[in-house]
Amino acid sequence: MGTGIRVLTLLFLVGILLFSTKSMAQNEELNNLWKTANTAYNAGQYESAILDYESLLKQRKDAWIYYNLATAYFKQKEEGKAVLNYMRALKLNPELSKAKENIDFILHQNGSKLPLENSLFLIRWYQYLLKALSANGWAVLSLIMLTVTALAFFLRTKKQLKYANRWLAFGISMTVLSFLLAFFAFRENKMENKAVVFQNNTFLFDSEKKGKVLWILPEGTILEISKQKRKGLVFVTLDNGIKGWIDLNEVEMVSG
Amino acid sequence: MKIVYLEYFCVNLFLGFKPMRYLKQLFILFLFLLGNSVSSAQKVSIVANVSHQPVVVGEDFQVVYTINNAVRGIDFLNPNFVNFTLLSGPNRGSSTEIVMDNTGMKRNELVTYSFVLRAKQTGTFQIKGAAIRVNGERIAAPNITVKVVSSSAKQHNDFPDFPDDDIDAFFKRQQQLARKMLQQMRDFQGDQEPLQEVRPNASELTIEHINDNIFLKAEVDKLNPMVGEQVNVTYKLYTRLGMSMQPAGVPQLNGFWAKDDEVKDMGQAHQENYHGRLYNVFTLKKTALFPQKSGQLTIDPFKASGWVNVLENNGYSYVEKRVEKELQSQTVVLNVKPLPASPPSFTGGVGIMNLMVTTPKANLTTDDVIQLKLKIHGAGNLDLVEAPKLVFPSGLNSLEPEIKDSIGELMPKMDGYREFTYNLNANAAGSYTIPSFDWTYFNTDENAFRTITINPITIVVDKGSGKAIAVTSTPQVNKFNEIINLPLIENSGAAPLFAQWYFWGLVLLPLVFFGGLSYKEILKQSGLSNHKNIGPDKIAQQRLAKALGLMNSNQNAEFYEEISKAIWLYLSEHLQIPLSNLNKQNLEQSLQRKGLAPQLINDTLNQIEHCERSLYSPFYEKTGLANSYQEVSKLIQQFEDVFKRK
Repeated sequence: MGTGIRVLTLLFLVGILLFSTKSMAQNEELNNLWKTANTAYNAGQYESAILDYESLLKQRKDAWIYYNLATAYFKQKEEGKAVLNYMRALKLNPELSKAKENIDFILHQNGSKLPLENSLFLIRWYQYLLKALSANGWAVLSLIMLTVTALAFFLRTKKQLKYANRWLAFGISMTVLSFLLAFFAFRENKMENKAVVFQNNTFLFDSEKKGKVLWILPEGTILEISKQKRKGLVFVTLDNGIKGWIDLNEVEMVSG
Repeated sequence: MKIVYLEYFCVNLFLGFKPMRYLKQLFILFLFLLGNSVSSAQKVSIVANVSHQPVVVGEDFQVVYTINNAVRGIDFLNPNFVNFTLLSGPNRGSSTEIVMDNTGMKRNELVTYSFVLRAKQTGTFQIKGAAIRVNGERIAAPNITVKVVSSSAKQHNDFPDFPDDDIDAFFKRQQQLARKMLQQMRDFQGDQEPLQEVRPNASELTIEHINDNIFLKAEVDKLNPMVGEQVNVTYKLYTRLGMSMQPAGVPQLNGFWAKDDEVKDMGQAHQENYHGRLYNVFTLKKTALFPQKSGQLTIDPFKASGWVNVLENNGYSYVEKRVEKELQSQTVVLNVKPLPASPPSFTGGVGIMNLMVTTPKANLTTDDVIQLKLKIHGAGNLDLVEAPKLVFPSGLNSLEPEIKDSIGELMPKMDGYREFTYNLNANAAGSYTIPSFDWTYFNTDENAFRTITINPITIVVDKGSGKAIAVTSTPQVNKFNEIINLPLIENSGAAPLFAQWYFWGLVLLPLVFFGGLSYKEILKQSGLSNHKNIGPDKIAQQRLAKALGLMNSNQNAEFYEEISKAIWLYLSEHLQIPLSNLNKQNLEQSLQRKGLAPQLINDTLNQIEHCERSLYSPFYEKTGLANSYQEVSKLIQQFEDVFKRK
């Protein structure tokens, strides 16, 4: 019994050693390609940088690689692909604020008349609130709020807290709110139904019959895809709350 | 998309591959792919046609949009028929045109959308808004101008355009034209030779005289313009022969800024008398030219090629003969005069122009985007005018002005306006003054520079909330981050906290910890644990103390009740049997199980018996209250000693 465990431990250690040396070699290889790609980018050879980043991504899905790839696409004026890859970077690492800033930059600079903000102020506030902290930030806040509320409850039972019920009500509502926001931010970061417009001047129709063009969407517009699909068109909701039908061929899913 | 189809077909073909059987299909497929690839490489275009012009009020007419080189997935957007009644449409039709020439096979897919309309009122109306969308690109169809006349006006029209389907009217018109032409020809040539037939003077229409009978001409309205002054050139085809001509070379206009005018009646001839002869004249191209430099500038010739029917004498009479012909218009040389020495405020405007300034509205705050508009309107080279030179005071930020052009007529003088919009934003509240500035253009009527002076513009800006700016232009918008140049590390993004098991552990921790503490606290405070703290002997002592009080006031019944309760409660607590379940039998058993001395058990049971009898039997001889009290006290003391020892 004792020797058996020892043998197993030994095998396990050897396994780790083998695995780590193998992955170290692989890491070095990836890092070299990464450096080559970055050098190409810095020299203004965006096309070759894009090729290198793409082949890196075949080996490892990584937020930084997606980020650099997107930036190279932007330099090539392929804004749809740029936004898409920034979104993919954010899906892997929501804390990568540079990617968020660059998406904002692209969406503001393309000069479209499309409003970027939701027209309903309540939804606008909600979006601001959601973006005030990162998903992890909200999760940590909810944890703190929960602890404080539990403490307040304990102090109330010990009758050592003034205005205990008010504190408790406040604590519970804050906990619930921060938990909900943490959950929504988490879900938003998963980007399950998010898609990006790929073609410039894509039409957003009012119905699946293509009756009227509501908006002409610029490349890089971010949408939420619904399950309603008809005749090659899909019902979508833009970040600004505008809804309509769009050709499925002209959008690309973020997670796909 | 095409690649997908190709693969699909290939897979289908090769799965059940029987060479001979599929050879034909393969060949057709090849043709199909070839044709498709050729056609899709060509540019999709859309043209618009009206069945006839002008239209009489109440008359039906047809508008047709033809899409050339149509490919899959074209969306057609209907135009606006504001001033017309739509009777039918859009009616979709499609056809395929296959053209073989020396460059190979060309395939043209034509798709037409036609509408039948009825004119509602007189006037000249535009049909706008038709467009197609292909591969995400929007191609607007040309606007159609429809002239609607009242029925009486049409009859008085000198050159009525009869609808093509009105056969009688068409023939009538043809006869009229023929008679008119004949008359004019007699007028010019009648003296030289007697006219024998409709086409007189056949000797003039032979191949020797071909250059007199068909030629291209470039008409220029000005030979000595100033730099920047508009020159209109019109290319015309003059012919007295039957022919078919295609443009072969579009003139290169070096040294000019050029803008083509729409030729409305392309393909429709009008009669013109040139050097005493009557010609059919086709207008091919109208271009407005703006010379960019002084000196001699050449307007290149326009070239066309095709065939011409000339007459040939075969000895007896003249017969028609078709010959190939290439045509070229004459080369025009313009002598462009330079402008006089220009003042610094000159921004390139040549013509007759004016400058209008729209000052920003009042009640501005630092939140607002302040719009200052400078509008140059008039006739001249509006497209080439640059913004007046403006100096903004410090604290007032401005980007390059936005330019909006609106051109009305192009010929004979381009008119319209060019508007420069400056979007300004003030850093702080205060009064800002844009100093007085000059703007100069060259007046072609007066042959001199004209300067317009704009008075200082004062803009008063109040303090804003600062919010609007933050919303409309977030500060990071102007910032674009470059790539990450750091070495690539493993897992540059960790899984979100919400999906980590330890997060949920941390959620449970305060719940369990404080929940536990609170539960304990609640238990402590509830009535049940109150008893426990006081202890069974204390209850018994309380009861006994009460009984002592009752004994002193000689309340027999109450006294016995209290002391029996004292025993029962005390034992119920110690034996942990609820009072309701306790009776003398199980009490005895329980006490025996606890291993108490039989003497003590016996005494206890006797005492209980004694208390009950004293309570319920009136004939029972009472031994005295004091005695009973002492007995019970002694018993409880004995129990207490036993339980404590345990």
